[in-house]
Amino acid sequence: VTATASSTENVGPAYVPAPTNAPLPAAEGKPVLLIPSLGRRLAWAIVRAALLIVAIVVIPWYLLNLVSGYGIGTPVPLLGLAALGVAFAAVGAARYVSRPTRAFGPLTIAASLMSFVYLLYLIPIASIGFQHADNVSVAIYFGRFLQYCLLAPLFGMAAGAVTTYEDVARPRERINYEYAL
Amino acid sequence: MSRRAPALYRLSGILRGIGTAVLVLLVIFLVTAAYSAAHLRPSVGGHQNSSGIQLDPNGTAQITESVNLSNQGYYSIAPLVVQLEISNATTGALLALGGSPALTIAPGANTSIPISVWVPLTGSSEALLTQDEALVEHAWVNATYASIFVIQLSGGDNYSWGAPFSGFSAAPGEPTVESNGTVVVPVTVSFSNRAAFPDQGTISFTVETSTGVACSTGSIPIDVQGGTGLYQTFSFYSPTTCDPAGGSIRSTYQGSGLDVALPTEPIP
Repeated sequence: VTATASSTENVGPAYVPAPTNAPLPAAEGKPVLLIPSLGRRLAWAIVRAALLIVAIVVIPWYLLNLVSGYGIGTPVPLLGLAALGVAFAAVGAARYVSRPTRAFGPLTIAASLMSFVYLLYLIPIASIGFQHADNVSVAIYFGRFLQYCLLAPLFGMAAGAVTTYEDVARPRERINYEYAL
Repeated sequence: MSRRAPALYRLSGILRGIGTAVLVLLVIFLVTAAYSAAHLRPSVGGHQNSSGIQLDPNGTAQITESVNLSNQGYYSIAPLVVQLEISNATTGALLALGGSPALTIAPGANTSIPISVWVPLTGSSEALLTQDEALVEHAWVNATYASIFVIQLSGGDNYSWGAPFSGFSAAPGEPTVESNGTVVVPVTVSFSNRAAFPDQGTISFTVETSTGVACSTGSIPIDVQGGTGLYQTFSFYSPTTCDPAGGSIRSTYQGSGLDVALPTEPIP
């Protein structure tokens, strides 16, 4: 764990452990911040992105391939699913890395916007279908479910907008609070 | 002692939390909906189904079926609509339409879905009166499950139509001249009622000359149950001035709302 005093830089690498008998930083008007180093954030971002890719690309891909063996198909293109999933994970990783910077708010909006657009793209084609005994076919449409799912990125975009405004209107307020020792 | 978060920071956190909560609730809903759907039990083809056919007063054959659907899940199915059409397997001609009313199947309910198809026996479908046909039944089911998931099911099956006047024949015998000068024309009427409903009514005959002049008319009451037949000879009298040779016998059936022409038989 490393720590640094508040600086004018957006990202403040922390190198000096605060001594246990040091005077309280707040009393001097400069809070001591405990900001994870860029390397550490990058490492965690990669781990998170990898887990996200497994969750939203690999597992759906595997499941869709599995059920297609039973004649269950979907018009959702697997390649598009993979591409958008990787892009979403990349934006999510960039957002995580940028957390102690002013880019965090806009990247939060970007990540939510990406999932919003992805859901909009899926809604008209969201269905699974299968054939039984050559004369019975079943299709299940879940576009309306995805319409409700749009609420989550909407709130995400709103949260990102508030964070962006906070970082502009009250510079370092969020960072000072989030990373205060 | 923890510091109070800045107002905008709190607002952002609340918005993010609501978004996450919405997502979690939707996932829980999805899991419970899938679990509930696994407890739907349509009894298709089982002994709980019932089907029947009857002749309506308006002269259409009404085929009724019922399918039981047990919804032991947490969510309702509303609406559920079945649409059905029957067409000729050989020609592909559409013969009949039908379906079910829009139903709501509440969670925990065991509902019977009544399905009716009305097959007209007049006009272009008149051949169904006298000819057994291989028909194709095609069904579409539209249902909304848990108010969100739209399920569309379609399927087809073969249906054997048994004609109520299958193989109808009114075959004339050799006309004979009576001592009083009238001509007796024996007509042997035969058919099988292969339908599930009875033929109850009157068959009227007209013996015509080759020029279409009616020599004699007559009618017989019939009550032929489904699965049985009629084979009977009737005598029709015509004046000597009327020669039915080379003419024809026209038959019509009246009953159960039907007033239809049966196949015309030529007289040798």
